Amino acid sequence: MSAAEHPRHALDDVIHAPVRFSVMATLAAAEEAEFGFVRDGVQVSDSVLSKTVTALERAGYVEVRKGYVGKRPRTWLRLSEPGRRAFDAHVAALRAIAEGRALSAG
Amino acid sequence: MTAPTPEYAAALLAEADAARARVRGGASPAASAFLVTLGCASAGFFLAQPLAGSERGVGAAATVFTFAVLGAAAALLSGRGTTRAGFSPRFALAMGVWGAVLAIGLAVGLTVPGLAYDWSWWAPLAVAVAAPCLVGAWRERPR
Repeated sequence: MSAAEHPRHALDDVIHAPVRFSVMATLAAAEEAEFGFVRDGVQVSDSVLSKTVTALERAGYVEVRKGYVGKRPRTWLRLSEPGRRAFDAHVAALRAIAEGRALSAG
Repeated sequence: MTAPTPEYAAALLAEADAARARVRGGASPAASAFLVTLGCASAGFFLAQPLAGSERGVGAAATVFTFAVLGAAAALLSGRGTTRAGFSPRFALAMGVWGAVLAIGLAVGLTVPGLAYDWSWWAPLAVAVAAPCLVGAWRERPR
């Protein structure tokens, strides 16, 4: 991107949707988070979170791990490295927009 | 994509901050509890060397130490839900320093003549072996 470009060009279409952004923001702060913790924090239903995670997983931004705690099935979510980089870039663009400045080159 | 207004962008950034605070507060206490147990059990095991004064007493202390660590490890494996970003390297550092102090302390204390029941060797080591665990537990506490 050139130095004079508007920061909106750096926004990520995959992350920009509100629920996806909330899920990504939660996972960015965590190394790994349980499905239920993310669902309660983002305040969505199981099915909405499940669809959101599927979309983010398809984009390569989220990794899903399934396992058991005792006999109870559990699902853990985490950001992949590309997902973490994409979220950081998206947040940098949002910060530039909020501050009314252009993003620096690179 | 429609570009967000500066106000909406600021609201999204505030939401990201709130999510970070939520993860900090909701991080599982299992890792902290495990490290506290490990640190205290290790310090107790080291202090038991001069205190027990016999191989039988040391054996009993080793048994208590083993069960405490196994119990804490089981609780850690079953209770770890959400962990803050960067948990693995921080946890590995605490465990690595603990393991090194434990191994060196035991190897020297049990092989060098005269150290096996010497307070001046085991008491400082008890502090040294607990310290990485307690510092690690402090760093991983929910907040």
